[in-house]
Amino acid sequence: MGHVYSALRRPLVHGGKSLHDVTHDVCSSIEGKPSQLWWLGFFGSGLVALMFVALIAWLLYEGVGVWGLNKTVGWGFDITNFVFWVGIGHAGTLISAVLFLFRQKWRTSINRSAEAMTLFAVVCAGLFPLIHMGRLWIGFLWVAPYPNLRGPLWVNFRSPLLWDVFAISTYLTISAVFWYIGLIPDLATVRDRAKHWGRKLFYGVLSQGWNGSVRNWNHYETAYMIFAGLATPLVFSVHTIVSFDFATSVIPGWHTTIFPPYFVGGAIFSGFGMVLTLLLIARKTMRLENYITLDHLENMGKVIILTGSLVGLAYGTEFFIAWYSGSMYEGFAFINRATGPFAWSYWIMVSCNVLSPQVLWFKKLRRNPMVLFVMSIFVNIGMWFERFVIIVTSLHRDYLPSSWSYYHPTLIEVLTLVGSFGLFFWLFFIFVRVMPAIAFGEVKGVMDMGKPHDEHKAHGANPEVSHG
Amino acid sequence: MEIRTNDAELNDMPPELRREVELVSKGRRDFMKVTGMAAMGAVIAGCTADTREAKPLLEKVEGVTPGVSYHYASTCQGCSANCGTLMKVRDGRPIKLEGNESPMGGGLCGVGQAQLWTLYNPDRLHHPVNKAGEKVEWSALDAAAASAVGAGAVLLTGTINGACGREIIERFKAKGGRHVAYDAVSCYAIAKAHGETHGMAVIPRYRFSEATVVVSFGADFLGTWLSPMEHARDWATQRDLKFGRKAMSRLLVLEARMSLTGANADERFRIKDSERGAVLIELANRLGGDFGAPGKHSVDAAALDKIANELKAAGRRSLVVSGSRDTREQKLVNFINHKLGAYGTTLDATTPSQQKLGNDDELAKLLKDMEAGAVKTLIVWGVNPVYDLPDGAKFKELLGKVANTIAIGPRADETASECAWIAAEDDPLESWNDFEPVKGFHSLSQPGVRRLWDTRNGFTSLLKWIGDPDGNKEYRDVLKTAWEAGVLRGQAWGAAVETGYVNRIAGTTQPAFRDGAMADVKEAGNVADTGALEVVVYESYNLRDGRHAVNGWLHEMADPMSRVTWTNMAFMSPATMEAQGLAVGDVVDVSAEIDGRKATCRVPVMRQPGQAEGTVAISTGYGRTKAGPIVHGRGKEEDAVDPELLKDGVYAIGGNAFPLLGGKPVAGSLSRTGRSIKLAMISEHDSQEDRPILKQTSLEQWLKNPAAGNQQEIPPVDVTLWPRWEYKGHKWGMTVDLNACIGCNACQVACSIENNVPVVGKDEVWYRREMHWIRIDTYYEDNDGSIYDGKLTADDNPEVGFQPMMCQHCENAPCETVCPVIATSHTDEGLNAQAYNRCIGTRYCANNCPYKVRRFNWFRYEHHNLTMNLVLNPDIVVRSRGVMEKCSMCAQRIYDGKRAAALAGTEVKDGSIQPACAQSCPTNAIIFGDRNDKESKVARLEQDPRNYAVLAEINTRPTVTYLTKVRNRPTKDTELLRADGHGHEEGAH
Repeated sequence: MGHVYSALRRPLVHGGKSLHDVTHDVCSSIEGKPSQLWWLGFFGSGLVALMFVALIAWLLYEGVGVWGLNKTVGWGFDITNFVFWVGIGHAGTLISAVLFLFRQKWRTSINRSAEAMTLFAVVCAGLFPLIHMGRLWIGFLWVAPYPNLRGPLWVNFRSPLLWDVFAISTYLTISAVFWYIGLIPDLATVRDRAKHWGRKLFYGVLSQGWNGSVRNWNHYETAYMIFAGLATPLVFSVHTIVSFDFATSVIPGWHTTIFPPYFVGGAIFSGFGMVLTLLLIARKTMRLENYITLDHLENMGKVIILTGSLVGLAYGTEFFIAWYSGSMYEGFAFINRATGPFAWSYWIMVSCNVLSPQVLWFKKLRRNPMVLFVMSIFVNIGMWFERFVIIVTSLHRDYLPSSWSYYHPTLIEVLTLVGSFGLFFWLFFIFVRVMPAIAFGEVKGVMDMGKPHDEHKAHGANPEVSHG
Repeated sequence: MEIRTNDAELNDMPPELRREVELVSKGRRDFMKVTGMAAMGAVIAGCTADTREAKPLLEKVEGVTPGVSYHYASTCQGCSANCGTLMKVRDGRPIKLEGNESPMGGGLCGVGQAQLWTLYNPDRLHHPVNKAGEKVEWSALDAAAASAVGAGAVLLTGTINGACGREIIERFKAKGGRHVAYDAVSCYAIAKAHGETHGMAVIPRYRFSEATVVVSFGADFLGTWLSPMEHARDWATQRDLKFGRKAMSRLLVLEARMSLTGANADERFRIKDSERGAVLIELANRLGGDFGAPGKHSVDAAALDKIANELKAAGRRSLVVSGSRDTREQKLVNFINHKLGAYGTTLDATTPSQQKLGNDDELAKLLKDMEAGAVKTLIVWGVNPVYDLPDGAKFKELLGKVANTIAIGPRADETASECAWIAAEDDPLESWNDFEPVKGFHSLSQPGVRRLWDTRNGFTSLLKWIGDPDGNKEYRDVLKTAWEAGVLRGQAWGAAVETGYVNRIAGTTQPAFRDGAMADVKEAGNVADTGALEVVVYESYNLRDGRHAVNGWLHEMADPMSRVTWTNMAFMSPATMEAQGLAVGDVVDVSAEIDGRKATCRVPVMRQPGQAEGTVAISTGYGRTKAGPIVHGRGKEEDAVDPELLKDGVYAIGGNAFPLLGGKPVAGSLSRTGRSIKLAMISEHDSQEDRPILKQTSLEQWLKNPAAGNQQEIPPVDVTLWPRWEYKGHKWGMTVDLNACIGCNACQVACSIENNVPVVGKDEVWYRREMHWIRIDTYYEDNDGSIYDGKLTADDNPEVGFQPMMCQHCENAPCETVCPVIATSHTDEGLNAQAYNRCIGTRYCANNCPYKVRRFNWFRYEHHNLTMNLVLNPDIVVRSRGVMEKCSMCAQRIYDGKRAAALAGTEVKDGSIQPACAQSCPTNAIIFGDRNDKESKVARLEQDPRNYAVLAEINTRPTVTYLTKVRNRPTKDTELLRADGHGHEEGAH
């Protein structure tokens, strides 16, 4: 990859690390005994994940009635959580595939955990459409178009829910494969460092005989490029298809053509919000300040303000079109969003998604991890509410006023959402213990010694000195 | 007689069904042996009645083919109207009650249809008991009763009007007994007034079909008054604008609360009950009376002039009715009707109604005698005075002074549980009886099933106790003998059983009006002011006088105005609520002092637009404490109206309003309890939000332009991605005439029973999860808020519109495209079918339904009691948890109709297939048929300019259409605007 690097660019890794330092820093966290903090996180999130399992068991035993849904509002927390988690999953693929294709080298220190986050988010996301079904025990089978003896009774290719099945399963598969391929060189390093035979075997099998040869690297880079190419359209297609769940319906507030770009923009927004949350925690707790630098954080801040503005624009466009279309139902749906019984959720959404990112116009704040952290939490909350607003406020007052109703979520629903976070974090804690959390193979490639050598440049120099 | 089925399908019964038939058919066999009556009056599906050769299925039961339904004519005993019914009996058990076409009517209201629940409800008495609730032998009870009955014994009943029934009462009296009848909701004032003005103490028969102008002073004749089904049908014939009819009657209502009749009025005036006498005097004065200047009232003179002129113009085709309990007011009504010449056309005193024969004077005398200790034996039968008398507590006390107390009844209710013995009575669907609801119209009631438990016909008990030899006979034979002697006049008994009634109505010259009787009516115009709050007690639409508090279907049949279930409420106008500082759901004590007696009723508050200011209206029937487990909630304190009643986790639903019932307008007071409960509403928004959903116009506009009010402001763009459906054979369709729908909910109950729709209970309804496949949407016009969110209405006397809403069976069905597994799909006959077995419960179809008619099984709504399961319609599967369900347009009835036609070798005749809703509608508002049959009613109505599809603009192409509502009142400005096509241009916000 014969790229030209500007000497004026800030180095992506700070702290004057040598290549060995990088390997050691990343691998030590999965080689030594886990810290108490890790145990706390593992068991804490594990308990919440157990509650999630228990709540699902109760749901399956009693029926969907344990949630607060009704004849008018047939989807509430369940599908909100689904779209929310799918959205979270977008940042991983975006960072690893799209930014890879655009040669954004700063992605290397964050892409591994972003990809893992994608996987776990998609796992959480995929659970909700399953458990929201009235009859999961047959539903999970019948949505698959497998050969059977039921004659003409097959899946309905007209239904966006079926498109979802394909979209989500494809996304999960590609994300997992892409993530795994990226892991192979690093796993080989872990294998080579392993002392215990068990570890050797485990990582040996996973690294598939990687020997670090030029031939290996050549194939690897080609494969990685191909998968990045395959994954990139998915970033746009998955949430487009998820948006079709709503856009192809007849319900005012759902039936809008703006949904595909609006959903993709929102997904990237929410994904970056979640990546930021996770990385800020990881950076602090695992002392990765030198890898996840303020420059990374600032870049992500910029993406957030861009995508936040995009969703803000989408909110405005929706209102404009609702008025401009002259449809009384559409017009009412949006007036009702902002002023109806669920107006509180609408204003939470607007405050979190449109207003709060505005602080990132200021460079100082953009480079302040605390501000970014608080902001990322706001984005997570706001984007959850965006889906809630779209789903619930559109349903609860549609065409016939006689059927209008409120939606009272039950404690079980709220705890199920909490539980899904438990599962997500639990998986993430396992991940950081088992897999190298930073793609050090790639990080080395963007360090100065990994770049085409330039005699004018001092290796590992302090950025403040050399470029300040 | 045995019937061979020609239908090979039926011989192929699955083994489960066979077993079920064996289990239940024994009862039927015994019953058949006893009665010797087989398949008479049967409308036989899939059978040829003339084939007499036996062909056993598995274990053949005489006269019954398993899987085939038979219809038997009977009489409804849900209220005193005594409408004719057809019992649909399948495999030895009644599974559906329907109206029986007769000169008295044809529909059957929700209350009547729901009587099946009462039959199968296992918490009624299974055997006679004593006061302690212990089982006793019939012999012991009979011996005790026989020794107590005799001279001076009092029989306290409700209305008993049958020829045989009255004869037995006469025999009881001949033994020295005394009979006192009273009606919990009395119409005695009408009878008493006629006694004074016409010399006949009767309630006339009202003929709304003859009236072109009807003025009602608080008589809810479409809801609960006397014979609502008959009145509704008669009244609707004058409101029909289909198939070339151009004339329409006027309905003017002056009332305090918003009744169902008021909701259907063309013009409505809000008056307190205490103003009614004054308004009646004003009206009578304008029609030739001279009763002096009355006291204050709120109706202006111009409006009264207009009403008087309209009545005069209609002359003998006009009718004035009143629900007043004041004899003087009823005499004024008689005077007005007399002056208009209405006697003989719109009301007939010579063929009087016998639906309410109660005599309040005799009841008062009985109470005095009991007080004095002069009553030694009291038999209480069919009434519940401890609950339904205004001073029920006093009655309970007085019972203690009676030496021998015996109750005849199906359960240990508030009164029976105070009696020494309870003679367990048959359910009306298990026993023979006769009725004469209108003089000359005799109606029979026959059993549809063998007695489920060890119970007995009440008349048999009575005969036994007076030592009559007929007491040892089956009551059917007693009845037959009595009818042969009197009613039948040579007509065959079998034919009478088959048709269910014998019509001997014969009117004569109307009695002369006695002007002298009007001497005391002047004072009726000067009723003492009731102050800030006047109490109105009315009969509820579902539980009526409280006897249906045992019935789950009726608890979940919403109040037509507020659409609240599972409680009664203190209704107040928004302004009155504001003045009192109350919110919906606040629990209040409504108290009053009536004739020195303090009465109170604890109920939640509800907002009712259109109610007279300064009034509070509470319905009867609730607040029962001894009606079985169903009147008790799940024992959550926040749901209890009165937590003090919360004993052992149970509490009464609602409050008993009977104590607040007074002969005169009642001045009440209101105190807050500081508590608030959740109200389980089926619908909480009552404004159309200016959307073209329930389209309406005025008669005047409609006569100018038959498409008035039916402008499609946004024409649908007919584009579809998918190929169009073709309907080569039938294309089923339904048209609902909004002019005919009165909002009575009969269709909703009929649908729930026919289609095994579960009752889900208060909590679930509060979550908005009721399962009704058809609902009545109530919209208040000129109203920009909703009852629920507490906005005041723009108009304090709004117009009301009712719109039945069920699956619209769209051609471009939004539900069909979104189901991932094709659980809902279009049939080649134009129906939207739901395959329960295929449904995986994503609920996407329900979300995407613009009409919100799909219902999801959130839980397993099973009957926990096997007896209760007998009520299920075997033609319909019981849906499991997690699947979606909705109106199928009674697919099972369509199959039955098609099969019957195929066996007969004919085409399906228009009208031969009737979905349950259409069948039960008293006003024939729901018309079902084949749109491909150009002669069918639905196809012809497609050409009617009033025909429209709801939400046509989104191009769902429903096969259910509606006919615009035409109101016979001056055109409103907004309607003129719409007629010019400017109605909705600014509607886009």
